[in-house]
Amino acid sequence: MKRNRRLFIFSFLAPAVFCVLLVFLYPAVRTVIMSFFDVRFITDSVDQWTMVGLENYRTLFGSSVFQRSLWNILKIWIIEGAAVLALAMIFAVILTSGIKGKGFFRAMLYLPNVISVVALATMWLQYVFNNQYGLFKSLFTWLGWDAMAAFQWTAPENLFLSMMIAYAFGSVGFYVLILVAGIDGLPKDYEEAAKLDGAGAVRRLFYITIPLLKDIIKRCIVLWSAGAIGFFVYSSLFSFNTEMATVTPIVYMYEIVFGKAVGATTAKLNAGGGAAVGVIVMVLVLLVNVVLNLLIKTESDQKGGED
Amino acid sequence: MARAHHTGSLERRRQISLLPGYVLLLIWLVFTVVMIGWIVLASFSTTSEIFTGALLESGFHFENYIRVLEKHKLGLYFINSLIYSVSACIGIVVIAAPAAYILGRFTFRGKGVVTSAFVTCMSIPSVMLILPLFKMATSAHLTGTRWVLILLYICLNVPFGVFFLTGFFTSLPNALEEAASIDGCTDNQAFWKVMFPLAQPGIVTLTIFNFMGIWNEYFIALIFGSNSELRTIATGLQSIVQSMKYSGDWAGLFAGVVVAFLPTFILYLFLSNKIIAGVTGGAVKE
Repeated sequence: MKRNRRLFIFSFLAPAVFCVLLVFLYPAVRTVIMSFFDVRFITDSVDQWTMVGLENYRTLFGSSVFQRSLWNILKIWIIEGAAVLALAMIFAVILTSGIKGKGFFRAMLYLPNVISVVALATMWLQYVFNNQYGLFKSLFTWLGWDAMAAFQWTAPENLFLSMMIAYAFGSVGFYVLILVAGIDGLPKDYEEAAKLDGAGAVRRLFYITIPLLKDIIKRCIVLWSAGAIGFFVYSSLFSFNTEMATVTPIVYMYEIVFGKAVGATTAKLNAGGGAAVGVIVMVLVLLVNVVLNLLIKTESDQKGGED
Repeated sequence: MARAHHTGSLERRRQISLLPGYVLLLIWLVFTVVMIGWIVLASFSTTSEIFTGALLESGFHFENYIRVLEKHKLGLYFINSLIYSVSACIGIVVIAAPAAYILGRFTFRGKGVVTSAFVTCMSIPSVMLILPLFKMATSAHLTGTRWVLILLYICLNVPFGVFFLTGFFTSLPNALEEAASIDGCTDNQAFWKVMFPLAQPGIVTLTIFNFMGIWNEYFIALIFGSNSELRTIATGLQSIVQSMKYSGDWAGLFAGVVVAFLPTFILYLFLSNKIIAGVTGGAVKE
């Protein structure tokens, strides 16, 4: 009986554990090892690898394109992150303020998250930002803002800004959902007491809602950071010219490993360098989480510390 | 009477104070509706009508859709995506549900290690994995077949599936298994006949998320399905967008966009409550 039970547990767990070993553990370890070797093509077998120590990392950090890609994700992480989370917070406060149609508006804000990113990015690039029949051009012409109507959204120097706007539109709804659920779960008495004491909406937001939501805001920042560091789809869709304006580390990795990404056409194939990019991305994710844990002490952490 | 009147005017005053909120939401709503609505209208117009701003002037042009689906093979990509999404969704549940059942309801040595292994996997960015996976796929002669994307989509989504379903199995009452074992069910039968059907709400939510995620997935599809017969709707649409920009077929391009976003959009119209509950439940609960 006991042996049967053990066999049963094993047979039920084995396929999932096998997936983890095959598709996560082995590749992750191999990527780390590969990053210390000179590997030209991704299909090269291990006996064609040459150990080079930290050479791949040195080459990466010396490359102006890679430096640019790190700078870009830093901008996405900090500037775009602050803008998107602030906007999400504003929407969340509006939605929980007792307006009518809360469910409808919440569903509308989340809608871009369920649409194919390629379709969404194409809508922005080929319609909203179009300089002949585009939505922004028509809108600003109608409003009489001629300077704005003449703005070239898809020109190389403006492409990064355009990408940030499109990405903000596509991602804000997700954070609205999380924040709304968080605010709905807060006890109402603090808010009521503050209201009776005559605190205005803005004061209540900064002194009551936000401090009480610390755990949830931290989770939003963690999720946002992972998205910013792994930024790929928008960047690759918004880099149709040969400019480096929107390059991110993973786009750069794609280019030096597969040599197909538009943009960085000059890089030579270097699969070892690609592996090093993967390791750098992983380290950045870990680093951001450690820093966030140090900066924002949440209640669950404190409880965990007491155990 | 006087009191009712008083609360009525209070309510009106409160709604007036909410006016800026309504305005902001309405601007966002109008923008979203205009953007999607214009794309749909443009997809039925001709390219010259798009440039002159006279959408639908010469009536509905369904041939835009036929052109993009047949000549540009978006129909094939649509079927590919359907095959990838449906087979992967089934595979994920078949592998993840039994494991989640064990982790949610049994105690055994090494349980902590296994549980944290699944959680750790979820935080590994896929860029850490794809280079060795590409090599493995080539060595196994899987590149150039649909299997490579099906298997990858299954395996890469198993950890989240296990994590998501474990909670559902934990919350089921113990009495059910006892009853099943008294009735002479083996552990295996008890799972498939009693527990698996009971976990259905969780399995349905998980499958909706997996379906939408795989339907919209771009990175893995770009790397492992670059062969023009194997493209997904996402990578296929992107290659069509590239070629149509040069051939100047904007009407066909927007028809392609509509075909790509319609399936998940329709799913969302019917299931938005379940989807929103799934997002917030997963993200707010620890």
